[in-house]
Amino acid sequence: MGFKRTLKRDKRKFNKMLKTAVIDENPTFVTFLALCPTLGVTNNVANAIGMGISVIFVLAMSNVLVSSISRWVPDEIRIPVYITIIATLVTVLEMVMETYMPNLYTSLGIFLPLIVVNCIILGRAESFASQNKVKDSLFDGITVGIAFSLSLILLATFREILGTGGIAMLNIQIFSSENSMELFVQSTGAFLAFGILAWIISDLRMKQAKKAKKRRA
Amino acid sequence: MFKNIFKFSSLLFLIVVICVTIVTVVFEITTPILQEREIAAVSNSIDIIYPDNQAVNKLDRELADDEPIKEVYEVTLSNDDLAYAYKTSYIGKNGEVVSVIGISNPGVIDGIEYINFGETPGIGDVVTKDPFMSQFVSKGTDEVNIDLVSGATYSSTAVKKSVEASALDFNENYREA
Repeated sequence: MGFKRTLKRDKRKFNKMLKTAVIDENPTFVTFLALCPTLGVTNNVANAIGMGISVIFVLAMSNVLVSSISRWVPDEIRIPVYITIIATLVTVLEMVMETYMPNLYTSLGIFLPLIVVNCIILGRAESFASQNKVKDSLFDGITVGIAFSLSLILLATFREILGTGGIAMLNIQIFSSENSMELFVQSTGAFLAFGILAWIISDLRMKQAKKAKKRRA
Repeated sequence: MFKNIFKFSSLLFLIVVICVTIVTVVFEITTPILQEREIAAVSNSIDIIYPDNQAVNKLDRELADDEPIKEVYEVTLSNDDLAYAYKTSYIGKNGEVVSVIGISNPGVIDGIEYINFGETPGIGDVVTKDPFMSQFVSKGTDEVNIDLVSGATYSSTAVKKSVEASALDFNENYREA
C-alpha cells in the first residue's frame, strides 16, 4: 500500500516538474541556455533526437551522482568534482556511441564532446542536484533533459522542413527539395530559425501573462 | 591551511582515479571493436573499387605521420595483375576525410571511396559528386590536376592532397615502365 502511494506521489511530482521544465523554465527558449549545441545539431530531426537522448542520459546520471556525493564534497572543490564527473560521463557516452552508433557519432561530431561544457548540465548540478535528494535530482535531470530535447526537435523540424522540404528520418516529403531554402540547414539558418521561434514563443508567453493578469484583476 | 590542502587534493585525487578507471575500462572494451570495423571498412571499399579482386595484402611500408597516406594495400585482380589501394586521411572541414584510393598500372586512378566523411551536406559533399570526381577518376597518375571547389575549400583540398599523394607514391614505387 505504502509503495503504491509513494509511486503515485512520485508520478504527480514528476508531471509537475516536467511541466515546469518544458513550459515555464524551458532551458532553450526561456532561459536561453546551451545555445551552442542547439544551433549546431538541429539541421535535421535525427541529430536533434540523438543529441536530446545523449543530454538526457548525461544530465540524469550527473544529477544522481552529484546529489549522492554532495554530502561529502566540500564547497571549495565542488566545481572541479562536478566537471570531472560530467567529463567522465560524456567520454564514456562518446566511446560507446562511436562503437555502437557510428552514424550518429559522425553526424553529431564536435557537439558530442562539447556536452561537457553544456551549461544546462553544470547549471542543474550546481543549482538543483547539490541541494536536493537523489530521487528528486533524477527527476530533475530527466525532465530538464526532455525539455531540452523537445526544444531541439521543434527547432530541427522547423529547419529541416524549410531547408530540405521534408523530414528524412520519417520519410516525409512535403514539397520538392528543389524548392526548399537550403539556407535553413546551414548555420546562418540556425540563427534565423532560432530567432523566429524564440520570437513566436516569447510573444505567446507575454500574451498569456497579460491574460492571466487581467483575469486576476 | 595545509590540512585543508591535503584534504581537498586527496579527495579530488580519489574521484579522478575512480573516473579514470571507468573511462579506461570502457576504452579497453570499445577499442578492439572499432579497430575491427575500420579494417572491415577498408576491405569493403577495396571490394567496391575492384569488385573481382582475388586477394588483398597489406604492405609493410614506413610512412611519415604528416603524410596523407596511412596504409598501402596490394590488390591482386582477377587477371593476376596488381593494383594498389591507398588508405589516406586528411583534415577536412568537419574532422578527417578518410578515403581509399585505388590505382593500377599503367598509372590509372580507378576509383575513390570515402570511409569517414562528415563534410557539410549541400556544401562539402560536392567532392563525392560528379563534376569534381570526374577530374581524376579513370584519369592518369602523371598529371593529376584537381581544381578546388570554391565554397568547399577544406573538403576539396582534403581530397586533392590525398589523391595527389597517392598518385605520386604510385609513380615512385609501383609504376611499371
